[in-house]
Amino acid sequence: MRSIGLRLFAATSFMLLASHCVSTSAARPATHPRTGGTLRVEIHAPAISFDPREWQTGSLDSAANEKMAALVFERLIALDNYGRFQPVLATEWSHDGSGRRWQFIIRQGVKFSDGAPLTSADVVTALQPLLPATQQISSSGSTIVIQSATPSPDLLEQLASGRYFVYRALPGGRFAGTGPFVLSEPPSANANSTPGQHLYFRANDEAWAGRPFLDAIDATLGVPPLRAMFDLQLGKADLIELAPDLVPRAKQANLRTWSSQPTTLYALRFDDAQPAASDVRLREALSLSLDRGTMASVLLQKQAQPAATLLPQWLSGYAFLFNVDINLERAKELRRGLPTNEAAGVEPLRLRFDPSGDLPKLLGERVAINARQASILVQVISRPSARANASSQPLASDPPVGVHLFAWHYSSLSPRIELDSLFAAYNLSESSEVNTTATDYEHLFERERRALEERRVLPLVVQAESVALASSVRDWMPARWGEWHLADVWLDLPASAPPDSSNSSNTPVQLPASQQARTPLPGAKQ
Amino acid sequence: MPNRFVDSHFFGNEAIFPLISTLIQLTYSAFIGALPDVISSSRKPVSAKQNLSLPLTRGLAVLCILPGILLLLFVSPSRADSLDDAVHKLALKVCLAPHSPSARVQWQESPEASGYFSESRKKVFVDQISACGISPAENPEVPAMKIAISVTTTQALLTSDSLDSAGTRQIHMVEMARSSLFSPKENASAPHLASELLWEQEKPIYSATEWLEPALPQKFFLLFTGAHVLRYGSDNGSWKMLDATELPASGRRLRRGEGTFSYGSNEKLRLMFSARVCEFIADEHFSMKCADRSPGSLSPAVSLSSNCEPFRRMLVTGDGDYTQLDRITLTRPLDAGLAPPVNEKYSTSVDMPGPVLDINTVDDNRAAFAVVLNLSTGNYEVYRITSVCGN
Repeated sequence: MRSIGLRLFAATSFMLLASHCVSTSAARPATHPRTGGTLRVEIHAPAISFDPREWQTGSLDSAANEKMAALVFERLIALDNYGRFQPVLATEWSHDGSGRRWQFIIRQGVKFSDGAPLTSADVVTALQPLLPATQQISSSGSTIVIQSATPSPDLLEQLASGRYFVYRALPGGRFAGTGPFVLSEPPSANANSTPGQHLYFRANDEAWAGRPFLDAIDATLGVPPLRAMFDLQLGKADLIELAPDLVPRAKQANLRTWSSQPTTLYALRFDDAQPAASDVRLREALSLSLDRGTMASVLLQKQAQPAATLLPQWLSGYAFLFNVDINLERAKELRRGLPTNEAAGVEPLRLRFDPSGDLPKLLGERVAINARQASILVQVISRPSARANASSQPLASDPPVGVHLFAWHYSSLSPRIELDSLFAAYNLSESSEVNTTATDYEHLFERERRALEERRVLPLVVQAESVALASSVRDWMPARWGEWHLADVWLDLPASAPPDSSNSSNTPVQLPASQQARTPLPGAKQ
Repeated sequence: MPNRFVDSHFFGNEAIFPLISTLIQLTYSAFIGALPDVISSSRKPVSAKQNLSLPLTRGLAVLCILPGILLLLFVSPSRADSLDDAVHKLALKVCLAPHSPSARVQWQESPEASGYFSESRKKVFVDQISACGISPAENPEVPAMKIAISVTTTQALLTSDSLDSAGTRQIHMVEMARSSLFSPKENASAPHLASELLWEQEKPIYSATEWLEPALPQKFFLLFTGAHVLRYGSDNGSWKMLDATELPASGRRLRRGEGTFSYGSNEKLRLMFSARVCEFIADEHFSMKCADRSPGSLSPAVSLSSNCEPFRRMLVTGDGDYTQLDRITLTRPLDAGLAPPVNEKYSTSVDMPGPVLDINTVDDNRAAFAVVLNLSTGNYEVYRITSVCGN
């Protein structure tokens, strides 16, 4: 026991501090988020585009673009993890009885990172190129109106996701946003700390929703997955993207991991360029031979789920009504009914994997193995490496391909829009009996059921996104569909850590979209 | 938030007339079937063949039914306002579509939407399909009718999956806003409170807490007895007293409830009592650094976090005096930005064996520490209160 003497009494400043803390503690949680520090992020994508108009819906690139753009741009509204829409740049919204005309009130007092105030005209300018042709946007005062040709009860889902960011295009191809961070030049001390291209985001002190807790985010692009994991273990990174095959390894190493709902679909699409692919019996036989369970559990290390539908369960709610049963006997029976020279060796069914990377190749090879068990010969064709980043359009000298293995990243929170995008991207025909403008789930189910029955497209697996985090990363509260919400994150750093030197920089630098070089970096996985 | 969905889904004209007879049957069942059975003077049910009502009454009944028919025709069956409404509409859809004369109803809940199929809701559904001629059965040879609930990012979906008499698969869906699923008593995914007795003694305890000293790091158990702060360290699963620190003179003896531990913004543990505030310096020689404080509440708001919600919820105690049993209740979210709808009357509580004299939280708000005077034994008890998810 030790008595406390007057010598221990604090100075006046401590008394004032104590009084202040006591008087304001009533509404505060015990652990206060701390301000400061730079979050070091490592991602696979070798380049980022900040121009939402350039993003290709469904592409894997668009996922990385969205994550980085969400640091500097904001949408009109957001969806929380409880299914409720929250105001962001729009404070109120309403619609008419038909759901065709929606009105949004734009938040006042918001400034872009270049200091310009946000106006409803800015919103119109940003969103009009992103909206489909059936939707027109106009402004009046602090109000914007979106008029749709057909009822749009899912407009809020549409605007709360995907590329529907509000941005301001500046001269020279630069962009300004209202988000929690500002794309900036890295401080000289950090400029060449690790190899690879960096994007440096500093905290936006003028953010209408409050300055984020982090001083800055230093994102390194094009980091191979294994190197990213080592960097995290060595304390060189705080947040990394995890490839599916590394998730079990990260868990074994006691790394802190998180996985989203499945956000990427891998599927096969038949192409009539090779005549055999136009035979529905062959397509059905191939479908029945596929062992999706093994693909999900072995190739993707249980970081994926077998897919029987185009839309995942978390988006449609009805995917569980479809089955993915394997039936080799039935597959063989169908195969026996086909012409002997078709897809049996005289001319194998050629399968080309469109996305780059090891996983599509492995999936394609697994499809070929499964097909062989049903006496269907499938030849897997890889893209020539010289054309890896070129257009996926075949050359005239290429042999016709009967099946494409493609990856689709879900970007919209509206199942109808996602289904529309998939159908449009892969030219999936729809029966005239189906009401394609209906938005209720029973109609969506019917549209998808009919499309899958034709077997022009065969879903394989849906894959989750995974990350690993340093233990110092606090308040990691991402959306279950993969949005990171880094404005809420703070770093539990030692109290003695010096303030981040980057904070002294007050001059935002909006990098031109053209400067986000799309040239792969050394070591980047292709 | 405005009403988001004004559904434009109507039955097609060609579908209306075949449905009318079924709707009359259903609506008649709903209105007339709800009336109590006619009981004779012998207290036995009267045969249905007896004509006990006047023709005029029956005519009026049909007139009353007609608006119901029109309402059913023009209210979207695909969208519901609540789960109860969805159950009702799904039963209506099942009845209106081709169906088998009997069905074995199976209820399927998903991990993300569990706890919603209460017995009362099941009964409503079964009663409704029974009224339109589908006999519920337990026989495994009878075709199954699977009723499932699932959630998407914004919607909840109630589905039925069954075979009709011809063996054709019949699937029906009714959707509702996901937020309409929130139900105070049936939300199994919401956290609930758990209490664990940590300490009891005859002598008064004013406040108690567990404290993980970041500088060491080591966990301590601290008791404030009104005059001393007793520090205990963990020793093979039990607490062993390390030292006792006397409080500086505060001018008068403290009464119960006049001292509490709290958590400072600089990660220091504090003890507030009377007009003083002391900050602990935890090293080899446990000591305190005290100063005067401005008068004010000694009871800062206490909140708890859990693993199933991204926000903290407030803890409140009863407003009775020290002679009454008390309970600790988990209530509204602390952070309004992540708050569920205002109409969510969420609460869960844990009963205490006496009045709660003090409650505080430290270290990430993962646990609260309540000092309770056990009215049965007269002992002072310390409970660790946590917010836990699921079972």
